[in-house]
Amino acid sequence: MKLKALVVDDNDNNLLLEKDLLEIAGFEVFEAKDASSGIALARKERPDVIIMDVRLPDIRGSEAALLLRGYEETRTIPIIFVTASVMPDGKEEIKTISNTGFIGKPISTHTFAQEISQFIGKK
Amino acid sequence: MKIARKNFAFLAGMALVVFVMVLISLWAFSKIREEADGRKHATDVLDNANTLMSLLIDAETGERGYLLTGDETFLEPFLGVRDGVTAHLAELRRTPLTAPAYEYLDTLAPMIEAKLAELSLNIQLRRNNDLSAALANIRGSQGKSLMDSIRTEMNGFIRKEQDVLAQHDEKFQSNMGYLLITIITLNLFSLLYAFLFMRFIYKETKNQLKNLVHAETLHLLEIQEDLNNQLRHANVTLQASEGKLTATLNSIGDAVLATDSGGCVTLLNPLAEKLTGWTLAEANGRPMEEIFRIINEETRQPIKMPIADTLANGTIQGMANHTILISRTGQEYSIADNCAPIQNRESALIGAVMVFRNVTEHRETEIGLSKANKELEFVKRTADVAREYSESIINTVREPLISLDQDLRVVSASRSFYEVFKVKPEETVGQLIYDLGNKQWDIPKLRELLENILPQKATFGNYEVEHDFADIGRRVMLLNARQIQRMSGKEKIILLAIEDITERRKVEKGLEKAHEELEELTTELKRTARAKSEFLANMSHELRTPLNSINGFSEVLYDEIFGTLNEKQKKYVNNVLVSGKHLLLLINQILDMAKVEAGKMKLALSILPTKSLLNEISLLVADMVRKKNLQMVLEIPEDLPDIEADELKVKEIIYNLLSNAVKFTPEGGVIGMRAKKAGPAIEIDVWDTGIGIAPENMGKIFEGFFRVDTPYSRVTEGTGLGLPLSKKMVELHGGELSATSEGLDKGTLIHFSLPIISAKVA
Repeated sequence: MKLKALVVDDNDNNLLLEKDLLEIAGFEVFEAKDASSGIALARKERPDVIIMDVRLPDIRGSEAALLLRGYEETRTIPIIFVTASVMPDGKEEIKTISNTGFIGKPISTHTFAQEISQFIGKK
Repeated sequence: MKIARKNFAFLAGMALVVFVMVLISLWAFSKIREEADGRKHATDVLDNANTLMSLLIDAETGERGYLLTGDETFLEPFLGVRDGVTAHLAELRRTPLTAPAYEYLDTLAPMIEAKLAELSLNIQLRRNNDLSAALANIRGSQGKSLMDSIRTEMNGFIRKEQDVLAQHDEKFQSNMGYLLITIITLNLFSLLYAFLFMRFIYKETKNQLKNLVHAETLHLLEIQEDLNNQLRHANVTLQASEGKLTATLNSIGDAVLATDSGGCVTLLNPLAEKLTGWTLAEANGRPMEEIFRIINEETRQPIKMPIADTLANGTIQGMANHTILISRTGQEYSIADNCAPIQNRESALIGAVMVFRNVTEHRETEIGLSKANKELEFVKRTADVAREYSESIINTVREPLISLDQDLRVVSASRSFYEVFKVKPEETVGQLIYDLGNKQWDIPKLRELLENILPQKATFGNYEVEHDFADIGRRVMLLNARQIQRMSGKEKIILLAIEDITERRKVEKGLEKAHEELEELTTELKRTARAKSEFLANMSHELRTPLNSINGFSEVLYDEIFGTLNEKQKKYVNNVLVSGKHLLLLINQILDMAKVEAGKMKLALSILPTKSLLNEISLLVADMVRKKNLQMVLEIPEDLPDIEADELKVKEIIYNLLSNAVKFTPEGGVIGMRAKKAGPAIEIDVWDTGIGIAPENMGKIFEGFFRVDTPYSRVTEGTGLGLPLSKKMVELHGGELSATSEGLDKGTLIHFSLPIISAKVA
C-alpha cells in the first residue's frame, strides 16, 4: 500500500515540486494551500506524514501543529516543517511538539523523499 | 432905530387920520352919552313916576286891607309911602324936565297929598274902630276919583316923559349909527393902519429880530463855544477815564460781563469775549443766558444764572464750584464766577456785573493732583504689596541670597542662605563677608569678583567658584552678583545669588561623556552603513551573475530552440524562469533601496511624454487585469504636460503601483489611474477597490517586506519592496507619495506628485 503524504504550502511551485518528488518516490500526495484546509484534509485522509511550510497565510506552523496534535486522528502523524527563514519562526515551539522535524529551503531534490521516508520510519 | 422918512410921513398921516376919526368918534360918543343920559334921565323919571304910582296903590291897598281886617300888618307899605312919596316928588322936581312935564308935576303934587291924607284919615278912623266912617269915605268915591285923577295926570306925565325918552332914543339911535359908521371906518382904517404898521413893525421887528438874533446867535455861539470847550474837556477826561477803565478791564486777568437791569449784556471785556466766543458788538443787548452758557461739571446739567439772583435781590453771588462755561464755538472752560449788583448814585439797581475766570488749568491741576494723590497711594500700596511679595519670593527661592553694602558687610541674607550654609543671622548680618563662617568665604576668586569685577560692571553672572566649605564639603558654587541701586540716593548694595551647582556639574560631565560615546557610535554606525552599502553592491553583483545563467538558459529551453519539450518539462522550465526573474527583480530592488538610503541613487533626467508613458504602462498590466476579471479605469487628460524626470524610474513607479492595485484587488473589482496638472507638478492617483489597509498598518506598508497575511498576498507575486521603493524614488524627484485607505476591504488610494521641472533632492 502506498504511503500517504499531505503537503501544505501556499506557494504553487513548492507544492508542485514537493508533490512530484513524493509521487516519484511512491507516495500518494494530497495538497492543501493553507493550514485550515490542510488540517481538515489531514483529519480526513490520515496521511502518514505531513509536510508543512512554516509560514502559512492563516496561522503559524507551530500553531497548526498544536491544532493537529489536538485531534485524535492526527495526534501522532509526524509533521515536517519546511523553512527558509533564518528567523526563529517559532522553531523553539515546534521543537517542543512531539514528532516534528525541519527541512530547509531550498530543498534538495535528491534527498527530499528520502528524508521524509526516514522521518516516517522513526515513528 | 432909524425910521425912513417915507415911513414916518406915512405913519404920521395914518396917525392923523386915526386921530381925526377918534375925535369924531369921541364927539359921536359924547353925543350918544348925552342921549343916553337923556334916556336914562327919562327912564329914571318914568321909574320914579311908576314907583310913585305903585307906592300910592300900595298905600291904598294897605289902607283897604287894614280897613277890612284891622290887621296892622297891612299898614306896612302905607307907613313907608308917605316919606317915599315926598322923596320921589322932590327928586322928580330936581331932574331937568320939559316944561309940560313940570306942569303935570305941579298938578300931581297936591293931588297926591290929598290922596295920602285921605288914606291916613281912613286909617285913623279904622284905628279908632270907626270902620263905618272909613267905609263911608271910601264909598264916597272921593278917594277913588282922586286916585283916578292922579292916575290920569300921572299917565300924562308919563307919556310926556316917554316922548322925551323916545326922542332921546331916536337921537341915541342915530348917533349910534354915526358912531357905528365912524367906528367901522375907524376900525377899517385902524386895520389898514394896523396892517401897514404891522408890516412896518414886522420889517423892523425882523431887522430887530435879525440883529437880535444875530446878537443872540453870536452870544449863543459864544456860549456854545464855551460849552464845546467844556464838553471837549469833559470828553477828554471821559475818554481818559474810559481809556483807563478799558485798559483796566482789558488788563484784568479775569473776564468781566455786565448786564442791564433786565439781564441783557452791556459789556464784555476781551477776556470775556474770548471765553464766551461772542464779541461785544454781537452780544450787546442779548439776554445773558444766550451768551453765558454754564453747566455743572459733574452732572452736565445747566446751572441757574447767578445774575438772576443778583438782579432780583441785589445780592452778591459768590463762586459756585465746578462750573463749566460752554463758548459759542462749543469749547468748554472750567470757570469760577462772582456776581455783584451795579447801583447808581441813588442806589437804584441798574444792572449786574459778573467777574469770572478760566480755572480749567487750575481745575485740571486740581484733578491731576487728586489723581496723582490717588496714584501715589496706589503706588504706595503696590510698593507695599511688592515688598511683601518680593520678601516672600526671596524667602522661597531655594538659592541662597545675600546682600552686601559697599564695604562688603552683610546687609541681609535670605532664609535659604542660613539653611544651606548652616549659619545663623546673628553670626552673619553686619559681618564682613570674608569673615563669615570661619572665613570659608575668604576665597581669592570671590575677592576678585567683589573688589575688581563688580566695581566695573554692574552685574556679573555665572561666576564659578569651587571651594572646600566648612560644613558642606567641596562644592562648586555659581555666583550671580549684581549692584542694586536703591531708592533716593542710598548707596548701592551688592546682591549675591549663590547656586550650588556641584550636582549639576556632575551630571554635565556625565552627559559629556555620553555625548562622546554617542559620537563614537555614530561614526561607527556610519562606517557600518557604508560597509553595508558596499557589501550590498558587491553582493548584488555576485548574485546577478549566476542569475544570468539561470534565466538565460531557462529562457532558451523554454523557447524550444534546441528541441521541443513535453508538458511537464515545459512546466518545470517555466517555473525556473519565473522564479529566476522574480529573484532578479528582488535583487534589483534591494540594491535600489540600498542605494537610495545611502544617498547614492542618481536620476537620469529627460523630458518624458507623460500621457503616452502612463498609457504604455497600463497596457503592461492589461493581461493581469484581464486574468483577474478586473476593470481598469484610466483618466489621463489630453493636455497632461510632459515632465522632466528619470524615465526608467517613473515607469518603475507606475508599474509598481498598478501591479499592487491588481494584486490586492479581488476578482470582479475595479482599479484605476488618474492624472492631472496641479500647479508646478502633476498629480497621479492609483486606486483600487481591494483589500485596503488597516489603520494600524499604515506606517508599516512603507517599511519593506510588510506582509498582510490574507489570502491575497502571495509570495510569488511581488517582492514587498514595490511601495517603499516607489516612495523613495518619487521623493528623489522632489515629489511626494502618500497612501490612504478607509480600512480593510475598503480599497486603497496611492497619491503621488512629480514636479514638471525636476526639483530633485540633491
